[in-house]
Amino acid sequence: MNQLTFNKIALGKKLIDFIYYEAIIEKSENESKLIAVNVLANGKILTKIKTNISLSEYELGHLDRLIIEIISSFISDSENNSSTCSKQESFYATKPSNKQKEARNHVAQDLFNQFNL
Amino acid sequence: MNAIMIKDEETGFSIRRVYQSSSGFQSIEGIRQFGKLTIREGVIKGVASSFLTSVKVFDANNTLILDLTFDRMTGYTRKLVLRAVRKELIEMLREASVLQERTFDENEAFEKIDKELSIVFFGESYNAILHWADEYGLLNN
Repeated sequence: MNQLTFNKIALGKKLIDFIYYEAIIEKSENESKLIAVNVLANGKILTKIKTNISLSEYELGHLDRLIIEIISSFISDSENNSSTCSKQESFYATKPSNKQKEARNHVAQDLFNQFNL
Repeated sequence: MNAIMIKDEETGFSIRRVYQSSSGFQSIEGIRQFGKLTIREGVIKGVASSFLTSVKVFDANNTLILDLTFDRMTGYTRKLVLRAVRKELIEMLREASVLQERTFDENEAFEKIDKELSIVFFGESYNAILHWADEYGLLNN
């Protein structure tokens, strides 16, 4: 397995004023997995958030968003220095009927208008 | 006449229905409003434990538009419900954008929906902290 580190300091990006993060991604033949997110300040690791999230369903452009969610979740849910975050989708959605599909389309239209999307 | 809704302090939702099982667990259906949408959360409460069982979202015509079932023993947090609803609403926007042959900025949608949902789920906490800050003269105006 290769281990890649996307270091946001190197990319000149940061999370907030003085906090940076880096994603530790393991690549195998079949899939890439986000195995940890390191939160850094002044080049030192403040905390390591261990994860086990398959990246196959995430586009790389959304990786930042996923990482920010993990860090927010860590901040709000944990009092420890290290935490294991699992993917939050521990649910399944029932397939909508045709009537429900139509209603969903209308609601989506409302949301597009409401949020100026 | 509308029934009086009781607010559940722990979850922040209004209690719509309660069922007390013989095992001692309470099965609760709570609701909250997100604009025209109604979010119904199914929760099982025991001693010092709450589990999320389902989340259903209805439109203004009371049509079920999201029906989510959670794995057994999923601990209840408002954040978990918020994330699930946010994820599914964005998925719904994706589907609609394909049907309507339009594009939208998914990151912008994420941020805007997240902000509104945060107010729905955590609005009382925000108000409480603002009230506290006001009492201590920490607010400028």
